Amino acid sequence: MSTTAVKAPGTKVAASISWFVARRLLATMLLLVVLSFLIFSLLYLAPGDIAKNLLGTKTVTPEALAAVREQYHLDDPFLVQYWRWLSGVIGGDWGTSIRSGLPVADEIASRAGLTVRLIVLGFLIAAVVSIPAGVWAARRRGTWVDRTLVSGAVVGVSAPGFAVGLLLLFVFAVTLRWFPVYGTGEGFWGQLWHLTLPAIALAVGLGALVVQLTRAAVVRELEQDYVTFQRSRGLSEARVMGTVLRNAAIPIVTSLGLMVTYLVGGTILVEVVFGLPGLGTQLQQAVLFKDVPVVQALTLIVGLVVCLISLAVDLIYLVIDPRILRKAVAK
Amino acid sequence: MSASTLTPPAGPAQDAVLRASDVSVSGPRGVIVEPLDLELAAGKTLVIVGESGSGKTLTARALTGLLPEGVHASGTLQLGERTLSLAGHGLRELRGGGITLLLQDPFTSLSPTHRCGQQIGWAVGGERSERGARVAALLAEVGLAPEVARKRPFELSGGMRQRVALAAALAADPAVLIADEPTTALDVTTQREVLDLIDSLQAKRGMALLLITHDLAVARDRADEALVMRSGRVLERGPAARVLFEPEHEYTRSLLAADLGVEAAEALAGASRAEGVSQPNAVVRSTGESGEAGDELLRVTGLRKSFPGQAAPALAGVDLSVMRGSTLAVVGESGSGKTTLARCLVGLERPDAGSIEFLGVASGPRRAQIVFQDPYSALNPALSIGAGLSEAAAVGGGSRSVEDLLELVGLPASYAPRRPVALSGGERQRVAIARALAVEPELLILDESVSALDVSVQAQILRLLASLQERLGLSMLFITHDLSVARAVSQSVVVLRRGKVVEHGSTASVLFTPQHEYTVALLASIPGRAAAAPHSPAGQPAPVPEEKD
Repeated sequence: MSTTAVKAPGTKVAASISWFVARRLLATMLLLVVLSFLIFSLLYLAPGDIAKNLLGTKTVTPEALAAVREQYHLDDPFLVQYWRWLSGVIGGDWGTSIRSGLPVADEIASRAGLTVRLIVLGFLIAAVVSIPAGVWAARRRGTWVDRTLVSGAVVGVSAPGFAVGLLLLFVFAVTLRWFPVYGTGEGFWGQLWHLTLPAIALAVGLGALVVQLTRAAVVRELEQDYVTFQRSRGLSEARVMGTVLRNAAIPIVTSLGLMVTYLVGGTILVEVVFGLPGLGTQLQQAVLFKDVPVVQALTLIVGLVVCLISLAVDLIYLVIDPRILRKAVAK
Repeated sequence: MSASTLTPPAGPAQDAVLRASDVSVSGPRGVIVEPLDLELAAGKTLVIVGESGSGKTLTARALTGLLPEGVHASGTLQLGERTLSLAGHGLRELRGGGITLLLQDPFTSLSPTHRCGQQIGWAVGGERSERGARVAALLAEVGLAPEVARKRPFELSGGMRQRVALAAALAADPAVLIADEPTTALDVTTQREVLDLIDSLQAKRGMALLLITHDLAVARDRADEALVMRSGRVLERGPAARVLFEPEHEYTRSLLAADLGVEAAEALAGASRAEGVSQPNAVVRSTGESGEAGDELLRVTGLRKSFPGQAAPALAGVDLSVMRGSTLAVVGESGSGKTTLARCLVGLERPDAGSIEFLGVASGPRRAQIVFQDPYSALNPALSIGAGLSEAAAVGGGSRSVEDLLELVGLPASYAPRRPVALSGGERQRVAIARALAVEPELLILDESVSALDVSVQAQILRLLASLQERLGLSMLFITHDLSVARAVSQSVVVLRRGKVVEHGSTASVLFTPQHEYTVALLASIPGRAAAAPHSPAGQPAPVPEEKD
């Protein structure tokens, strides 16, 4: 089935899309290099000494200190240190964690599963609840339903994730004892049960934002002439809403894309509050310890995920808004 | 049927399809449309004429139960055998097969992300293949090829979109079509084609048509019966031949007088209707008497501009010149490149080739200033009128005070502290003109500066411009799609089509004895011409192929 009754033949569309993706991937690579350099510099400049951190409470002799500094090349010039790290990464070696002495790749792989599950669950909760709520508020604009949802969303946006987390813990885990206070659980259902409260804490702020964005997008579409025209043609309300949602999808998808990147950041606070051993707590501990290889690796992963999500959002645009596709081809 | 209580004052009731009585609309601040009665007959056209704010659109919406939130209708509607209250939700059942409302703007009345065929098909039941055939038949009925079904609205021109909308409106075979300003957003040649199409479809289907327009010329061409509204009240009603040609009410007469379209058409047809009507286009200064207008102020040679991604250049080598103290009208339809020309002249766009020479003494912003089409978006809503004007004067180094500027454009000094939102469209456009004059430019460029205004306001603004030209010796370049406006304001005319000048010369010679076939087609499309000059010698206008720009 050819969707290209337009001037542009299919091959041209495909070619310009692959060129677009290639350019974006190249830009992502550059961004990641810049990012890694920045983080490396910041950690280098931050107060504290890795050698002292490693020796911990042991009595610090100048010899021991020198030995540690030698082992981790801490006396090399800054740029040499950075280059050693960068060449390692390019060669596929992410280095070893200074704190645990284990390879960084293994460290991250063992903890990534939990964080991914938390983010996916948080995203699903926020999307499944907020989008229908936003549509509902838009359709009942000006009524008590709308006002309640909008004021609830304002509260949700303003409440910080860790505070919501503490409140949820107090009410549902401590007082009502419906959910566990701590731990990750065994098996699918056990994990789901343990991750529900953290995921809700993660979802509240974002979900509130999505309610507002969805409502605004749907309200704007409902005011369009085509809605009046469809109604005047006697089309069913379901059909009218279908059209409205299709057209409102563009800002909603943007907001969902932003949401995932925000979730990636928000997971740090939530994991710390709920004591979950995910990437968030790992990053927090690594920063405190000046565990450079781990911080670098985690930052790059987050950066890569954010870039890929925004690329995915842009590609989804091309599917849901044919006008953008045409402009992209024209360029 | 007991029609006696429902019959409107005008005319006998013969095969009325729709009768509406005591239709009134009220909003939070009280009554907006006072009770009125309507009657539509199969195959006949009733036109509601009125300027913006007259309540004509709300009346149309009331008949379809599609009023905006917070606005309510009352009254009863009788369609065929059924009688319904306008206040309830019952009207929903009548929409589609009973009454369908066609909206003004073809650019917004279709969903941008759905294919045209799909949108038309929504109102057609049945199997997929049957639906496809039915959509193709509907497209053929409005003169479009079946391929259009696979396109999305943004791939079509305005005229084609309005045809698609018309096909969509007809999909459910309505008995009554209400068309609310269906062609106002279109070019004059396209406007005529779409109106002709509606006419022929109406005749073929025996549909009743309620046409709502602010354009008296359109009304005169198409109406069987007419109803003139102002401020929510019916001022005059009756057969179109009487109401629109020999009106009794003073307001209708003034509308008629202000309607430059008819004036121009009459002048073109050589008909002299020297009745007691005041001459609104006394603004015209004929070429002969513009005495001292002599040396050149602006000379444009070989101006070219293309935009990336567009096959045809927006400007393909334009030459023109503006004489000091006179007005040049640049006439063309959308896509002709006239707005690109204006933007190049004031430096908002960089031409690819060619030269723009200002031969005056001024430099910088004092060479030329521009007034845009839409007075609603041209003013900064956060600044008061006075602040906006003094800001403009400060930037350009003008010496006129805010009071002087307001006085120049005929506004009281007390407007200075107000914000744009408190002003009407015409007043805002006056402020926009004052803002351009604050810099004391040698050349004033007006880019469709009156086309968003009501006819009577249009005439006022044109008069204002003429008096400003006289007082200040301004030179003007007036860009318009409207030939009657061009005729009213200019001494010379340039006709632009697809980025090329197809004809130029004095206003009188170009508009009265056009040489190029495109100018002839433009002139023939002026609404009101058919009615004003039934004996028009021009015959059928040369068809102007419609295309996407």
